[in-house]
Amino acid sequence: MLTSLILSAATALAAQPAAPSAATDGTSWTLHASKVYTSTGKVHENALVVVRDGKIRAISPGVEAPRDALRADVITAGMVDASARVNAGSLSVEQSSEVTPGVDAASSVDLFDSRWKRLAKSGVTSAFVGPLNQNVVGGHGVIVKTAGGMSLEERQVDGAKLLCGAIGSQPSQRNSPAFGRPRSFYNRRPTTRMGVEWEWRKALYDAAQAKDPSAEQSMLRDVLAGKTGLFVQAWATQDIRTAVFLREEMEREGFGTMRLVIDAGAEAWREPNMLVRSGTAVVLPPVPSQGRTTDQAFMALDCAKVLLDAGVSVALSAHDASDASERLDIQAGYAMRGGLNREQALRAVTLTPARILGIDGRVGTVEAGKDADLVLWNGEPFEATTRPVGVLVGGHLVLDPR
Amino acid sequence: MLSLSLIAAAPLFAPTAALSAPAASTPAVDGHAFALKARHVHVGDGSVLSDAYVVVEGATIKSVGKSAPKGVRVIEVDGHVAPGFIGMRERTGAAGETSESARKSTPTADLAYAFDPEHPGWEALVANGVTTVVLTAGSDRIAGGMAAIVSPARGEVVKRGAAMTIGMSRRSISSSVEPTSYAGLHAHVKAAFEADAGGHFSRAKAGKLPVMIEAISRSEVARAAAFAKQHGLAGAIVGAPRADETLDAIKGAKLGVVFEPLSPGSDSHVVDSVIALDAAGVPFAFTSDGRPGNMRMTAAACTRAGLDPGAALRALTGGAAALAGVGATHGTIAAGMAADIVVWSGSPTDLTSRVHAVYAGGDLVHSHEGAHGQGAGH
Repeated sequence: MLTSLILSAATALAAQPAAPSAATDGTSWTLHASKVYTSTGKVHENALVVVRDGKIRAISPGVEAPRDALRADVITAGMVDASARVNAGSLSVEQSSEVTPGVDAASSVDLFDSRWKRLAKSGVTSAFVGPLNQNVVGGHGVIVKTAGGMSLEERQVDGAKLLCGAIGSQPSQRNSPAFGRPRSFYNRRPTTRMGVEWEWRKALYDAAQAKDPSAEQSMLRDVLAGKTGLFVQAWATQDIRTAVFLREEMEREGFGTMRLVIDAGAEAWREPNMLVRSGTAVVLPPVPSQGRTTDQAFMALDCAKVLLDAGVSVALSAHDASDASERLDIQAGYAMRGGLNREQALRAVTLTPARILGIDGRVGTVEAGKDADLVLWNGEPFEATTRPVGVLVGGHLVLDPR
Repeated sequence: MLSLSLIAAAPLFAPTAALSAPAASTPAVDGHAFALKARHVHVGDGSVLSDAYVVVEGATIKSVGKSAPKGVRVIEVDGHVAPGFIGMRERTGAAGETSESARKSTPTADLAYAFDPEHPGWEALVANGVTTVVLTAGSDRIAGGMAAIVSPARGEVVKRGAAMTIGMSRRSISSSVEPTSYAGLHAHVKAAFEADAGGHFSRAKAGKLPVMIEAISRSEVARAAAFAKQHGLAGAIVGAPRADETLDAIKGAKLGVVFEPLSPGSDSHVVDSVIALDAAGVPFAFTSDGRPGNMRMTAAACTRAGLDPGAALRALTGGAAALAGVGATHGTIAAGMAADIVVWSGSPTDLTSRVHAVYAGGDLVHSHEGAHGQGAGH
């Protein structure tokens, strides 16, 4: 009885044409796939996904495809890249200071950048973008949909507040020479990893102890209180340690408990227990072709597997995917080759990054009520011969499977 | 206190004015009225009058019509008559003098003090039919000063404090001093509008003082338009070669666009943008940028791609004057307007046409030897 009700409801919904009417602004569709991977653990077979006004209205398994539905072998949630790096390059960095929590990537993110189209067509539907990693504390990042309107109001997704920073060689990259005097602020004050850590510690201590905190210090206090997450790029073991130790020191001092996310944690697999202990999530960088990443960190295909088995929350990233062979679905494929099963790999590019970004209420799974961010695949996702053939972002068809 | 009224006689510059007028070999008439009779008179608002007389008395146009009053000397010109062009961004003779880099922002600096009436560069500009220019602060400034409108041929300041110039493009971001980022730049612009020491920002926010915001990339233009809309600013975006793709934002903010000139080999987006703006009813104009002929070349490229020649001429004259806030006195051929008139051999937007004579404030300041009609007085 119940089944037949659902079925009849589904049939009624399916009667809606695939081609959207003008009234719906092109955001209402009927989709059908042999399999719908929902990222919740559930897989629906021969399922109809009904999209109305940019939202997923209903999912009905065991239904024949209506003639005019958008069809695919597999449908998954749109992928989320928690470290997309479609930033404005050096113009996203305020280099006049090492510690610039006041910088907001929303000021510099360029929605007309052609990389957005490429990301969207590769199946990435939400992305987190911070300032370029040249500052110790670079500034706040912004979460945006990869397609939709051309204003930030239309594209921005409300989620976790995240302050971006870096530990490693990047923030001290423009070192001054060992002798001679600095010519400009390009000769960065921290010239060493030790100096970078000192800048971090000083900024946090100053903020915690300030009697009359500045606007920027208040932002750092929000980080200490865990209201704003700390999104720290740290590739190598020693830099990941530094981030975790900083967090532990702040806790010990009674300044607060920071919510830490390690970005580009290529060597996070070496000491996963440290991350489990501190509840730290990891965003992995794209798998390097020669095994070594930035800062000579070693990363193998089983990185995600090791971390996941240890109980660390892991998201995969393709960074800006400037190389087609680094696309996010291919990263998920590598992770599977490293030992993840398809469900785990899928979560690492959908639900997990959505949770890290605090946008899992809207995206990350295929469930009724969620944003219609969907990827249509021509086979089992993440296989070498499979690629996205259709992509919807908020119901907008950015890649047409027909 | 900046005087915002018209300085017709330019008292400040009167002594130099007498010595300037670089291209003026002989004044047309000594204070007496004269009339230009032409087969085509381009008004500057998009319309063209046939067989009309433009009567000039002193520095202004007395009347425009089918006849001239008795006793007025009539100069019959063989060609077209049009208003002098208005260059919306010009720094001739002021290279290095428009960018006060000792400070981040000098919003109340007066660009009139960057004006060198004796600079030889003006002659070529005037000879190409440009009679009015807007001196603006350097593109690398954040709030570099108040634009001044000047008549280079007469060596006069037409209007001081005409518009506030704001830089919101990457040109205002330096690699060697703060700010080095968009975030830093925006913080400066925002702080300037919120602090408002001189009162000028309040006037700009009330829409009483136009702004000229330089913004180039689509993202910069979208941000500048959103900023202008948020603060209730009126004026124009300067740059915006892809304005066609940010049309909604520009139109929504009720701004105009001042286009930089096309240069040989550059892509044609300016042309597409101009045509899109014209269709959408968004006002636009062009910069002269010190290269004579640039403006007309750009306008001609647009007409070749389908822009109505009347709309192109309006952008060079009356439309530009309106954007610069001097539409009531400059840019069109009508009674009461400044007698800034150019005699062309053919249609002004036709690149085969050439300048026969240029009148600025009623004085003949340039003439092409032998090409001018009889009785030109030289």
